Amino acid sequence: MSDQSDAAPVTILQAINAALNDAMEFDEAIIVLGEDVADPEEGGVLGVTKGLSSRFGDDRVRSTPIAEQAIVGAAIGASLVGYKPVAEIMLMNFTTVAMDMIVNHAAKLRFMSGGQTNVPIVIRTMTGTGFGSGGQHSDYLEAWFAHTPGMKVVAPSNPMDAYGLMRAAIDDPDPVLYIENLPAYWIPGPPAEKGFTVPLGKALVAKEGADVTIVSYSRTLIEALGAVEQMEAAGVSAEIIDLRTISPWDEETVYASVAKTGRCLIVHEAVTAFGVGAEIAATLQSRFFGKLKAPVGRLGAPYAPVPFSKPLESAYAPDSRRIADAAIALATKEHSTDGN
Amino acid sequence: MIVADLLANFRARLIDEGIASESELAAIEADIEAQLDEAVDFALASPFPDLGELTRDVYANGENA
Repeated sequence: MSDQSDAAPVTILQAINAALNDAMEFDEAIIVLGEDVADPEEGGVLGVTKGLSSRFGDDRVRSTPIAEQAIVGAAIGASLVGYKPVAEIMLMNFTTVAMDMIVNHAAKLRFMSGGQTNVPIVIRTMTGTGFGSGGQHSDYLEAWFAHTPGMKVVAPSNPMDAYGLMRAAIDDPDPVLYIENLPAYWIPGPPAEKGFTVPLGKALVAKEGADVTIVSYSRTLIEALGAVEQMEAAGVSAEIIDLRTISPWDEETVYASVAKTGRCLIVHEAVTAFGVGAEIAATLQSRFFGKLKAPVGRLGAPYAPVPFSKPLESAYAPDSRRIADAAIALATKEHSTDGN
Repeated sequence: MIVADLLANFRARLIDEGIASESELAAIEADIEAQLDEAVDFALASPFPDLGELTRDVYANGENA
């Protein structure tokens, strides 16, 4: 770790801004584009890109029309001629407008050109429940992109990883979707040293434990850490793994943990059905069949869009209490053949 | 006068071209405002939905998934 223990804490939002600043200072090929990202438009809807256009100029930091397909398309084109674009699709639900560009072009150009070209772009996007933004502005759609060969998907849960994953994503020669959680933007933590990177595909054991492995990322990882007290009160010691990169996921770190605990709960804010948890659960059950102490568990959102109403929205995504309840239930469950 | 607000521009054009009168448009606007006020009042006066409604209306039968 690159922990500067004396340094003042920074928020995830500030860490992403610092990563962009440091990367752009380091490499003139890095450009930023997206809706309202330049300073005349407030440096992003929440200020993630604030200061970049003033510092690096309008040629390198461009606010665009509200046209997601054009944002990603322009980023792809620029990347093909030597730039390293960081494109912002303000909200993850709006990636749907750019799906052709992402799925058919960004993810496939290396393959379809026989390796003669590549698309080193980063697509930043923000999402998550908590702001009452409703079903068209809150979805976690990471499974769609993880399901697309050629794409990489990352989702930090703390400021240091936010910095390190952004630097690594920019350095990566392939397209990376970088998921930012809205309510977590203002969570403080130790800052990363300038130039710090978190290798893509490397998980972090956020907390060690013995009874059950909890695998998560982004907002629900924070909620899982918040569940520790309730789990410990119930006598359950959870090992919590922050996946950090969703695709490719760090099988080695998860395997080592599940080999130790024999139990695994995968938690994400996305709808449980057909989600990232299904992929991990299937992989674990193939590998550890007969050695698991309980069936692999999944905890995500119900099979419904994100509701607007505050009480419904609060009940939608897994929180610390529901994570603790599920982990305790799993940790106290003995392997049986009765289908439970 | 051309202003940045497209709705205002369109309103002026409807009047300029004789498609609607000022009083007709004012009546439509007053009706819409009243409907909005009624909807907001209803929403604020209503209890929050039951948690059982979380998965309602995802599909045609209107029942829980």
